[in-house]
Amino acid sequence: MDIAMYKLYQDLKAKNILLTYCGAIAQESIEGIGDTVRKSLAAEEAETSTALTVFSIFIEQVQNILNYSAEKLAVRQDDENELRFGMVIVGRENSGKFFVCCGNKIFSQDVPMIESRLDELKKLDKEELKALYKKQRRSVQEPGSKGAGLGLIEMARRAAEPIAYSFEPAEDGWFFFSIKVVVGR
Amino acid sequence: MDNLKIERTKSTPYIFFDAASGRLRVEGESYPENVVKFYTPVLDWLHGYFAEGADNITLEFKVAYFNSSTSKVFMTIFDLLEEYVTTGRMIEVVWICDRDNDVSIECGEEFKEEVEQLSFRIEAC
Repeated sequence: MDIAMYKLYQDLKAKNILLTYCGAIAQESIEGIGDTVRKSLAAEEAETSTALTVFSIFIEQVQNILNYSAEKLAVRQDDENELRFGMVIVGRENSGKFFVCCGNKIFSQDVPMIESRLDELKKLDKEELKALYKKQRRSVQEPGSKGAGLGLIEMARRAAEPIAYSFEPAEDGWFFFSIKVVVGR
Repeated sequence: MDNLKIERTKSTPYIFFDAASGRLRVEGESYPENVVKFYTPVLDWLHGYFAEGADNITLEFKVAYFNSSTSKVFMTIFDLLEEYVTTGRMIEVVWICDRDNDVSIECGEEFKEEVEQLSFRIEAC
């Protein structure tokens, strides 16, 4: 790797990136980076509710990496301590709105399910999203699932603009899943 | 019945359930890696407490932030309380939040909308 990082640094700065993380993610890193996200938002003078919304989207996204990223590094035998790979970016648009982006590898067979869920969410207005959230909150958790299946709905509810996402073919038959959520000021 | 006490961590709340007074408190933030694992002892304690015939309970929630999977567990707790209200017990939930925190107030309201007979009070201070 080229060690001259100034160009990368400048590019990120020019895009008003508050924070970038790429690599293995564990619960402890989420807690630590989460604190930094909050401090950065305080420095940007974000309103209490805005800061909490950005933080909550950050948590939902990184915990999705922790629960669902297909790329993992098992450090111990038990499942709980495995590390999963992904990347997360918190930044600010020229309009002043904050955004949280997240990317990780997924299995190709999971693409249609994630894509159709996101497509469905895009068609719903705020009231419909609220109703779906409440319905899903009361539903029985799918066996073997680590999450409650609420993260994407939660993000759609808090987003100021429709959620943007893409699936890019990656090596070894994987896909790289990217998602971006914009939060109002 | 023993009290239930769990110390606060960055991603899990302080829990103090006082069996004698019926005053139960959840305070802090909640976004653990494994929500089910963290809350299983809490739900077990509640089931045991009701089985022993507890009839006067105040449950105070002061949780400024919780993730979506915690939301599901809280709903399970409120559903459980609602079940016991219908058997004639006096149970009150107090949702305590910061006046400036619209998100937290709204979250409390959305739980309140989901319960029918359980007394659910939102205290914004």
